[in-house]
Amino acid sequence: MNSNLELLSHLFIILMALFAIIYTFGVVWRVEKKLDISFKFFLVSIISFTLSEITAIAFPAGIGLPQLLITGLKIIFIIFFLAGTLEMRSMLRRMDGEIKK
Amino acid sequence: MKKPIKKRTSLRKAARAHAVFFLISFGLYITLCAIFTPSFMLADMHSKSKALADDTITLVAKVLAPPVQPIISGSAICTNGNLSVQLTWPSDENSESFDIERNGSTLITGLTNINYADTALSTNRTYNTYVIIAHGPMGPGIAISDPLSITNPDACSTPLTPEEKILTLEARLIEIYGDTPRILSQKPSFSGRTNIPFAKIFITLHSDQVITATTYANENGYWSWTSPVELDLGAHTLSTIAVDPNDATVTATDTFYFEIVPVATSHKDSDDNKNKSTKKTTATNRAQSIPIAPQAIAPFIISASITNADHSVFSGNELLVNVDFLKKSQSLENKNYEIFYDLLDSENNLVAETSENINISKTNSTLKKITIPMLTPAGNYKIFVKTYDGRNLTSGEDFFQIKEFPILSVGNTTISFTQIMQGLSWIILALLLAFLALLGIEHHLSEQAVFQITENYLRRKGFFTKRKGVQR
Repeated sequence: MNSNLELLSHLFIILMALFAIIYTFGVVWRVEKKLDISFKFFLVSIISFTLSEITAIAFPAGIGLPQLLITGLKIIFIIFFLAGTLEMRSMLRRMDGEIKK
Repeated sequence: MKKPIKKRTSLRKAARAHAVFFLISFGLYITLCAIFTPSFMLADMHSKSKALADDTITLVAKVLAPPVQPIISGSAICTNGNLSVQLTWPSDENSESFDIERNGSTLITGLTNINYADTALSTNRTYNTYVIIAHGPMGPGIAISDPLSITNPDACSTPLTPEEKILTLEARLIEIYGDTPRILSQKPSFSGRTNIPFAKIFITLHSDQVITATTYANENGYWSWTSPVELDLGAHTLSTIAVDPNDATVTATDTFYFEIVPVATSHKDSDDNKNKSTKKTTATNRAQSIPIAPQAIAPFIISASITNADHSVFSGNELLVNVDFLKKSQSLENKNYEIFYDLLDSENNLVAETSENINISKTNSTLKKITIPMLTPAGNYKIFVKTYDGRNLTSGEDFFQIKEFPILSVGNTTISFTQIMQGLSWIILALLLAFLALLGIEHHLSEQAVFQITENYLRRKGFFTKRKGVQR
């Protein structure tokens, strides 16, 4: 891909991710209990995703420690995203009556 | 009887203390290794063993420094009405070769001497400005001298005797190669110089196949060309003709013989060439020539020229390429030839390509419009037009510049993509401030909220309802 286009794409992704962080914070500050937990998981995952994108821009060669860092942050992203989704799913199943309290 | 036992006990104590001390030290060492990765331990042990092994060996090595900035000195002289400029600069062990630029354009490349006589001068100019670029293996790899302007003597006229010389093969001066230049590369590069500014250079490379090409010299008469296809091993002859763009009768020619050899032969010959390196054998190189088969003459030559103003175009706009077919044979086959148009950057990387079929027997020229891709970076490019006639390749090339299209234009002020990228740090700072401001606003809004929303609250408010048709 053209390097300029690649850089623009990264910047756009980071911009959108920053918005996502702000509004996820907004939700976390407003909700409690399981909703709060699941959105906290989402918040951690989106923050780690944003950091991985910033690292990718800062170290375009992506070798050695930066590459390890990017991979680690992406692993954190997917783990916390999954945790948030499972927490939300669990909450919905309880409310739905599938799981007895 | 007890005393000796006591002695043995104290010895044992000392031995035990020593063992404990050793184990603690070793454990500490292993812990350090675990912290600094096992490679630290390996490297440390390696260095220790090397130190033990090499303590009696003294190595003397000289590390080259980056090339030193050349300081040019020179003067213009007039001998029998012929104007020449003698340039000289200090020798530098850190530099491998030197390029000279005259008035901002390349004059010659690959020089290994520390002096140069510029004889291809026009009296139309009152002065010429020279810059020496030193190339070396260390540091940034180049060092550029300060420009030196040399004023021409008033009473000196240059009778223009057209000259054309092939100067370098694979970026090395031809004289350096010895009797018969032998190279490994099957896509060799050449450069040369003529005293005809902006001359059109017709190139013919004779081997098993015939490659014909046209290119252009710059204002100093310097030109360079790289074979677009891999040549066979063996002997080849390169012929060049420089033609004055303003007067087609003013021409100059040169011929050059070289061989492409396999790796093993090259090593043997390079040793031979080193022994003969002091011999100047230009005449020998140029006199020899392999016979050219009569049927191996290209039936036509392609000449490409950019017709856009100033040889420049904005990215996203159309490049206008005028292609002339200079027919060498009257009995040209009545068939379509596929003409390929390759857009190449300054490092010969392919940027864009297109092709069209043209019946060359029925036309002498064509105008091709090529749209430059929108995101092509600004810089120097060339259009390479080629076609195959059996095994023979005919090509033509011309050079142009891609300018960046301004994203925003207000009056005389324009903002381009590059300028935006140059201000990236400010954009990031602005983004950070906007992020913090939005986060602050979001927090302030959440402080205003009356309820802490939970899943039960949402259920009470009717955000969740029972689905229909579900068996419970």
